[in-house]
Amino acid sequence: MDKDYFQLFNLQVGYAIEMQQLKQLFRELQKVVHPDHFSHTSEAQRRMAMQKATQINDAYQTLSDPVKRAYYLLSYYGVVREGERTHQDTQFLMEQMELREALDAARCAEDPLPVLQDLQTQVRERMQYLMQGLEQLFTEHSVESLQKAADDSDKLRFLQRLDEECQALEDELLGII
Amino acid sequence: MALLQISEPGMSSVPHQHRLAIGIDLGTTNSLVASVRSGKAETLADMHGQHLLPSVVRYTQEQCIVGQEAKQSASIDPLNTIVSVKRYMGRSLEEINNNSEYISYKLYEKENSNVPRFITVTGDKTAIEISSEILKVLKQRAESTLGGDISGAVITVPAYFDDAQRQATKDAAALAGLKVLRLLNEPTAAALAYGLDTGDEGIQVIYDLGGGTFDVSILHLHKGIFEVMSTAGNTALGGDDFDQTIAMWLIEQLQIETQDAGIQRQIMNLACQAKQALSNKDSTEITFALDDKEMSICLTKEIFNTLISPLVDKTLLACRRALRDAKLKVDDVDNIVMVGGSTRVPLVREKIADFFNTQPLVDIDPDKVVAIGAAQQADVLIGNQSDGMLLLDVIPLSLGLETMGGLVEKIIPRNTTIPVAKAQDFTTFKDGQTALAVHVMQGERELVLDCRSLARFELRGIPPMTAGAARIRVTFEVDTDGLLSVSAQENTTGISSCIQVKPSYGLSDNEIETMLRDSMEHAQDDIIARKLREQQVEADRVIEALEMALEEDGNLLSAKEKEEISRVLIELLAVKNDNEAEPIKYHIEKLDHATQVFAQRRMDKSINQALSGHSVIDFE
Repeated sequence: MDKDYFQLFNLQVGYAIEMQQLKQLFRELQKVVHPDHFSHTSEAQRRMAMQKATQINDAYQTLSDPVKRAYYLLSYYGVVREGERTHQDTQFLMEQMELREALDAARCAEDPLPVLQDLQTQVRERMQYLMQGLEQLFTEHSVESLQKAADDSDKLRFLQRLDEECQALEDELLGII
Repeated sequence: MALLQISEPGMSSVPHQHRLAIGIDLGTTNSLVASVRSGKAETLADMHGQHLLPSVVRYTQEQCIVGQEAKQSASIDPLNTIVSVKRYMGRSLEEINNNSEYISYKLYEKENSNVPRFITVTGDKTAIEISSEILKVLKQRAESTLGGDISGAVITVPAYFDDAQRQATKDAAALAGLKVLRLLNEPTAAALAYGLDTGDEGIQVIYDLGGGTFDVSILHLHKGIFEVMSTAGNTALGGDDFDQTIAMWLIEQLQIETQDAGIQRQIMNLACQAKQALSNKDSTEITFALDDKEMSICLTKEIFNTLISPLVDKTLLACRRALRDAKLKVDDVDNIVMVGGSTRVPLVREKIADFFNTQPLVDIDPDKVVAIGAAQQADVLIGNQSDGMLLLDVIPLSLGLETMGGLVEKIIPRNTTIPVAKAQDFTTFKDGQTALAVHVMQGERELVLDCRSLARFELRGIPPMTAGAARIRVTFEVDTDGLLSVSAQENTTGISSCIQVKPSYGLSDNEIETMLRDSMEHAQDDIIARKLREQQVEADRVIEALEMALEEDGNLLSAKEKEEISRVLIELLAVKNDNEAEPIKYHIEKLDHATQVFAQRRMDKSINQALSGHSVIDFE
């Protein structure tokens, strides 16, 4: 009965998303479903508007985030994952360790901010690269490509978290509470 | 056809009836009330022509005095005169005692209730009751100016208010007999007032420095949609703190003994006057009189700027964070709007202009702009405007749960658009565990100790299983007021537990009910009469909305469905003017139920219209 997130926005199923379009559709939809337009109607209608607006917010947040979108697509295609899989990919394990060490090094550096910014640029470039790959893998959506997409989604999530940690460290250094 | 009968005049309420709605800015220092009259939002004056009501409440043996008169007696009767009560809203005694900025009132906690109470000459008063006195005065002012009952109010709160502070504000409104249409964030209200006034679009930064709180919000304005992108701030930073630094400087320079609460108040008043004088002068003379002695000292703008500079810098850090959370740079900002009396301080304006590299807007009186925006939103929510604008607001602080090891797992991150619902699964960590403690937290830090505890509850009766086998789904829901409710359910058995989050140091529903009863003179009769009126108003509202809906979208229903709806509608019309609330309530619910499918179809229709209005070509 409930529409999936792509149907909700009348978008084609896939990893590539035109952000401007999504944003605009999101606003158009909120314009018609938001509870504020129903504040003078019956309680049942207000409740329905609240549910609808909540669902659209959730769909928008999921589709506009590269990691959440990837995991949503994986479940959409029925890819079953057993909890958090530890990576067999030794190369990526090495990479994770290197990036973690780089973050620690930035923290201890004499002039930490530029070091941190370099690291962040690096992290974001890798994220971009993975996201481009995910576009193709999800377009293909064969059993093999979806398995690879699942692995890459985990990598992307690691990078996104690292990026957040970089932000947090920057906050700390700048004294932003 | 049956439908035609029900639209006949006299049978139902007048269509498009104009209702009185107000916006209230319940400020730390001053409060205001505004309303939309003949299409224009304006603040309402008292009988002396004053718009600002000082947020000061004095209790005497005979009565409760609010406003200017109370303010004047603050230094002669300091313990019975409560100033800046907003700072105490939703705060525990511990928090108040740990913060030296609070003036030394006599406070205590009653047994079985964790709400701090002020000891006054007429008995104990909570911050909620004291705030409700201010709201009552504003409500009366609006009723006499507008000439009628107030159907609803939008009350503003600092964007950075947490759940406890919001709940306290809502409780105060309930005590004052106001129907709250919405708790609206102050900077969002200001953006609304500016946006509707100027028609400007793009990225707007609202810098709101009031008496006791600081907020910065970044909004995107486009075609009548006001979308909050991020918000940051500090609920304990404001003009009062400027006064405080001047006061400390005075005490040090003049070597004043400050044990006495009256002297403290006197020094704070002098500091505040000096601050205001320096808004358009380079120096000011401060004279402190004690017994027969008089002492004078000159405060220059230079010294003043040095004193407050660290405080203003703190606000700039919050601006930086708000920009970052919105993923924007300083250059992306189109306008900066200044709100709150403390933005009159020249150093504040200078530093902001410098930081954003553009001159801030001060076109609308910074004291009034929040109330004006609130009145506009109230007018939309009460149904007086049909084409209305839309506000999309966010939660200011992350919400989460305590997990193993005193850590906080975030469920909803800050700056998430509301309304929002998020669920997360948890499991048991011991074999045979049958209960799970849920501890709800608010804040950005990783450790439970550094976040605010909102509520605790327990999910009991989980069947004994091996550790990790149970699936407990905890759901967080934040409504459009920014208020949270939490529920938990064990998925293999369906055992559930649900609470409306009432902070551990908030008032319980029972306490509110009792206070409401106490505040009414002929309690029982009044409550019954009020309930009847409420149901009648609700019935009118539902009938009017349904008639409009049928007129617009009646074609979405089959003849049989229409007949069924009008049958239930006629039943409601039949009981509406009786003198009993219960049957009216029952038939409203029945009608609600009968029109559910209709409502669903109408919503689907408007969704499809919204989506089909755009082909891909429409987008840049």
